[in-house]
Amino acid sequence: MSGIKRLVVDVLIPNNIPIDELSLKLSKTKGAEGVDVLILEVERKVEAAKITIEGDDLDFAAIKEVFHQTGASLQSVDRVTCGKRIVG
Amino acid sequence: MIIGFFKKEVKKHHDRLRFYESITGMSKIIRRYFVMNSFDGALTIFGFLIGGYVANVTDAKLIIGLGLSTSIAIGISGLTGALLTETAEREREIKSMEKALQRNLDDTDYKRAYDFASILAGVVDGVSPVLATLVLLAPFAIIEASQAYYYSFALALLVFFGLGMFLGKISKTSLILTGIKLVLAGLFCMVVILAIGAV
Repeated sequence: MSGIKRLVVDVLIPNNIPIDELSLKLSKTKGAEGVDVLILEVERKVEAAKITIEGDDLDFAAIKEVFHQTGASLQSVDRVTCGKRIVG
Repeated sequence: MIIGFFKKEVKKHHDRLRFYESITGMSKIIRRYFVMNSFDGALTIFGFLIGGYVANVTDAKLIIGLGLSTSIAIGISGLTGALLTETAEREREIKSMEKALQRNLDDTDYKRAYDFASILAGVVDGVSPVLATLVLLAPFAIIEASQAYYYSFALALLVFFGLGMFLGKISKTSLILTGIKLVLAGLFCMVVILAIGAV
């Protein structure tokens, strides 16, 4: 299937949100097969993270809703991979 | 099918509560409120009953009526006090987090977790003293007032000991020792009231 296969985003996460909870919530969104959360920087109240989600026909709206509900703040979409196969 | 639906609902609520707990750490606050205000309610009614005993009040209806109104007042005081202070504290926390995240947190599970924690703290703070009071007043509903005093005093000491043990469990220290500490606080209250009564 085509659609979004990989998504790399930069987010700010409140530091009282356990990242395992956040990654599990993301992994339950439609089409998601794997999630990787990498913490880049830890500040007093928030953590900056690079999140990679891979799967088949990822539901970007559902992913944004998970960020919205958990209090995470989407800063930028750094990479989107679409099509029949992953390039790069 | 019904059991499956029920299990799914329970799991959904359990997951939500676990998420709320991980954000707010509400269980710590709630157990603190529970012990603090149960002790508050129990000690107030204990003092009230010692006063009744010293003054030789033997009208059970009067004791239950006065005791219940006192406990309701303590309960409402706990409910409003905890709700207002917790809400104010958590509003401040949310505002500061909004600033750090550069976004609004209205209508999110994150904010709902804080609202839920504030309401639960208020309910626990309001209900716990009333429950403790009901335990202490129960003998007056069953047996004659002159006898009920002794049962109530024994129940009060048991409640103090139980709350102390709960504190000991939280702090992972000796359950007996923390139990005895709260019993001593109750006995100290008794001695002071009896001394005032003697004067």
